[in-house]
Amino acid sequence: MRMGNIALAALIWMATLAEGYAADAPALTGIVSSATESKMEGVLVTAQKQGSTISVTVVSDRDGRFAFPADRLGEGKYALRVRALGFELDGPQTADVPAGKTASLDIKLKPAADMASQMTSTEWLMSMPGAPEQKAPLIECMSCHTLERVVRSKFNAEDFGPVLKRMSNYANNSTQAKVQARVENRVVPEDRVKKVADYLSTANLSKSDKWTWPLQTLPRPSGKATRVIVTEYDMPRNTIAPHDVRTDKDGNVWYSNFVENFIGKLDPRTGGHEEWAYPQQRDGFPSGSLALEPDPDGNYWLALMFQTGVARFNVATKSFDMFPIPESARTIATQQSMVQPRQWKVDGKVWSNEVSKQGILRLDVASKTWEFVDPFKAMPMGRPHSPYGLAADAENNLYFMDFADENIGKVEARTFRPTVYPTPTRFSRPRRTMLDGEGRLWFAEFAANKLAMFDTKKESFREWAVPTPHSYPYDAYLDKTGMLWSGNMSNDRIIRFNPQTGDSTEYLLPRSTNIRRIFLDDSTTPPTFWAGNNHGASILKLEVLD
Amino acid sequence: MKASRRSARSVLFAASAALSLALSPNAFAGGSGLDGFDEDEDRGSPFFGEVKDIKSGKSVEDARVVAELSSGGASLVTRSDAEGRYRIAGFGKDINPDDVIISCTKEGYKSIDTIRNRLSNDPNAPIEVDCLIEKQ
Repeated sequence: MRMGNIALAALIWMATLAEGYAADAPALTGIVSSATESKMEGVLVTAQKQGSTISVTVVSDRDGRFAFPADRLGEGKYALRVRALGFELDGPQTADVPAGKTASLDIKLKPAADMASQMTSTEWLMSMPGAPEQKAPLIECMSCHTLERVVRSKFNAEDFGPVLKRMSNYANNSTQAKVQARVENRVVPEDRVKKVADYLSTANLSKSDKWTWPLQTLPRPSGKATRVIVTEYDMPRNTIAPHDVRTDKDGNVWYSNFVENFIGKLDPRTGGHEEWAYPQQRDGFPSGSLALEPDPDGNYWLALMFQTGVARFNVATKSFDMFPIPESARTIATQQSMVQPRQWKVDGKVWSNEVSKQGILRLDVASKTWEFVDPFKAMPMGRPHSPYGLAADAENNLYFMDFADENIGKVEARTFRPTVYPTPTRFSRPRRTMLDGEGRLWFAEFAANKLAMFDTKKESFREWAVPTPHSYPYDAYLDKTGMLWSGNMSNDRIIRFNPQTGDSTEYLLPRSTNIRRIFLDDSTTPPTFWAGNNHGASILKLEVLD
Repeated sequence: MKASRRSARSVLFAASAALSLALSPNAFAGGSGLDGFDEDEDRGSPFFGEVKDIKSGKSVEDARVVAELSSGGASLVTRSDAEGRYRIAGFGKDINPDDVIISCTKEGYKSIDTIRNRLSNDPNAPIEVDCLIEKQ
């Protein structure tokens, strides 16, 4: 009986293979195995042609088989990499792909010399001792680095105090390749620093050479999660930090650079890269922009962070229009992280935010003047707010995410009248959002580990927990097929979620990837996922194969 | 008799639940891990209550509940839960709760009345407002 099944499976497999050869034989294929597993499922195999900035990743199926489609790897010599927690590549290290022929190559893995170095921040948070409220502050660390450096540190509680104070005085637009200090000196409460410092000294290597608690890890991808191709495009400098990424109608990929004063463009067909610098707005202040949003003319707007104000990049003339915040309205903490120009033709106005004043800004494009709106004027003063992800409806009314708290807000364009909608989950910290054609805001509840929808017409919410704990989603995007996507800074996984059925698939990325804004290119079928690797100087494309 | 005692108990339970939510310290709730806040000390009266169908006396879920400043300056919006209950954390303590209008609406229902009950003389005490609506 069992033999019969195997024979049948083999027959079907051979038939599939024969068919595959006729239609689209792979460029490179083989079986992944190790001493303990003869057929390893869910191993990410990456091939990067020598001298190329583009690497392609596929995932081995339940038979241990990986296969690079012929149209993804041209003739040439490729460096191979793998990702499988607990393992590393034993060999071979390279593959030769001949022209018009399938190269066969089995891959052997050996136990990793240092499994801990392969763990994601999510896995560290799962493993670390302590109560959820002790771990909660650590979600901020991931803005600049993974938690590996925290758990590997040897600081005792006393050492940690100054470290934490120093960290909180770096600009949020800092990467390991380009650390930027805030000009404003942020004073953090001593008692709070002490609490975090005390905790961290119990979760690192200050008291012993090894962690005294077991390391918890996430499983390798399986089933549907192996049916994917990831293409990664390396940027020409390691300081380039693609934050918001999106494609245009011609298939080019545009991005904001979080730590340098450029807008960039990638041609994914060739890997070609171009960038355009905008003028420095504030000497001595951190460089870089956060939000990148298109307007109805097909031009791109950037929110200039500590450089202050917003910029419009004219795609035809490759020139910038600058919309600065007047000196009289600036402080040393002034920060514009968001810009929303989608409906500016309705009333000539573009929305932005003023992070340091916990409020909203609105730009009159023609006169280059700004208005300030405090949507929380009537709310309790002691509570922090932060209008963050912005969306505009057809009348250019604003919807915003209250990232420091738990609200979706609306500001009426004509009256500036605010309406505040608390999310069903308390302290959810809604982060980025997209407004779909049916008036629904899809967004990530960063601190609640949930994806959510707010129906602006019915004024009602839905929330869905992300299956993997400690994921802390950053953004959410609904594609044309009704699939909801999300990414995060914590576990190198992209989630595709079906809000109708509750089914989800998490696609693992080939390396440590700090994901911020995500984008789905609906011009392809199925839609193509794009995002920047904010700390890794690359742009990622993810294509689902089912 | 039994029914009315049960409902009195459930009102009391709701009041204490609302109080404990309103007064609990929210460590690490907002902002970054280091510059969060401990309490909403500037918070004014929270509002809570039940949305009921005046004819059947039954609670109504998923009704839209709005707390609006009488000046029209700002609104807080939530919806009633599966037990017909709602809770609105409230405006700042500078806002006089008497200037906050609570209203409830639901498709297929007509709004009839609200019944307001201040739980103590403390200016920021929770205020219970039940909404009576009628199925059309």
